[in-house]
Amino acid sequence: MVSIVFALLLAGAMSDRPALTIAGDRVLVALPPSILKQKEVRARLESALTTTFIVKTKDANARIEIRYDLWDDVYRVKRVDAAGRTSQQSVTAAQLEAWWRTPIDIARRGGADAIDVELVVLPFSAADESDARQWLSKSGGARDPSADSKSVIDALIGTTLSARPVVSYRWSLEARR
Amino acid sequence: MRTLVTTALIVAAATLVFYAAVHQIAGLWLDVVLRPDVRGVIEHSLLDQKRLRDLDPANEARYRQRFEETRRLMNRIDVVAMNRERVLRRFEMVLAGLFAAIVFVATFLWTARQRRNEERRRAEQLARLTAWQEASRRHAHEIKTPLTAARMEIDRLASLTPPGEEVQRAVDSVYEELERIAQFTREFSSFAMIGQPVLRAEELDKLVAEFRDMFAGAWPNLTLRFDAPPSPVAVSADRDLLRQVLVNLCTNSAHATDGRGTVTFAIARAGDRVHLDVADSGGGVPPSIQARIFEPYVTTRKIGHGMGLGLAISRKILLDHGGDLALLSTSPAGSTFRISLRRV
Repeated sequence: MVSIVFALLLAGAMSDRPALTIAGDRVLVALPPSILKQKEVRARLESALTTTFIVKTKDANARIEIRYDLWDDVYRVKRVDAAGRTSQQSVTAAQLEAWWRTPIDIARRGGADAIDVELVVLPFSAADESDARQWLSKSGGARDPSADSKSVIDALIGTTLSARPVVSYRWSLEARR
Repeated sequence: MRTLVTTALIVAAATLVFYAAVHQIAGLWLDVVLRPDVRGVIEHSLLDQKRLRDLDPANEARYRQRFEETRRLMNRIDVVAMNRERVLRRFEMVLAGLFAAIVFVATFLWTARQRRNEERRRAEQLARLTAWQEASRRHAHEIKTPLTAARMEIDRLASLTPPGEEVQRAVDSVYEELERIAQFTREFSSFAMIGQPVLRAEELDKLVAEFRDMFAGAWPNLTLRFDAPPSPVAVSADRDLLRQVLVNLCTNSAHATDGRGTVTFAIARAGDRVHLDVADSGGGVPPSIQARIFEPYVTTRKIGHGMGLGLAISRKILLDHGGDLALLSTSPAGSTFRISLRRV
């Protein structure tokens, strides 16, 4: 089922591919806005959880996080590129697409100009996961949550939580200069 | 081995039942938290905080804090909802595992206690029989000395007295009575003189087959049946002492069937033990003596026809082997005695 969804998404995305650019010794990718319009992704972006996009290459990963803040009616967005640089800001729904198009550093430039890129969309972030895990562990029977004493049972139940990809994309891209 | 399998089956069955119960309970617990209307109420609460902010801007920080707390709760529920099946399975697995461990430990302790009690019972019986053995040895010794002296005196008295029919009859009568005492003492001694077994690996099936052929010669009208197991069964035993046990059991069986019944031997492996069942078609052991059947001087025979030491001797021999002898079943259709030996 997952592979069918993956194949369909891949076929759909073929017409709207990311753009790869070279800047010095770095490789940057601009992701297509059509990804944000995918039904599955759209549904995640409307939740209060932090939708996480992992951009994977052979040697490095970059991460994009988007969370809708109902209080201020804005999106809290964050990028952590392959070089470890972090940037975060708030954008309105109208600004989100433009921000999304901004290229992100995904790898150091190697010998070839072609690069395989995989994008994995996760329904929540590591922070969401950790928070839910602690909450579930405490619900599971820790007598004194402040004591930070986790029983084996709490740990076993807590570790069941993990973000399974909503969708994945894979492209083989050639850089434009 | 059988105990272990039984324990495992009990644990598995109990765990399955428990697992099924937990499945219902855990599912219910999670579903209460993950109910759509619970999430709906939380969403409304979020919107309410926003409306309160608009109505009461002065307290915005307070409403914001409540909003964030509620949002985090909703996020947590959403994360758990996405992992519902996994959480449920792990929860059930953990509880079932704990339950299985508890049942296993309890069963193990119970089994160990049973085994300890059994060992204690055997040790007590061995001690009792050993005490009887020591008493028999002393009695035999105490009787033998004056018996010998009495015989010598009768011999001397007979030589001093002029020959006569009346005197000879009296002397013969005394001799006869002394011989009866001597016979009594010999039986007594047989119990006192049971040696400690010299244990070796013996093929029980072969030993039983040889014994059957030998005993059949002594009791030609007795039917002795033995279906040898397909492969040799080795036990730790003293060949001579084990044969003595078989003689005792089969002699009892022969007497119980007037030498015309059937005795059946059956060998079975039971974990680290081997059972040899000896069944006869006699009239069974009377209920009044079943509990004391292995005690010395307990017998169904008439006075003067055996002292009731055979089963006590047999059990003593098997206890000394680290094995046991038990009355497995008895009814008017016959009795079955079980010899238990250590498997090699």
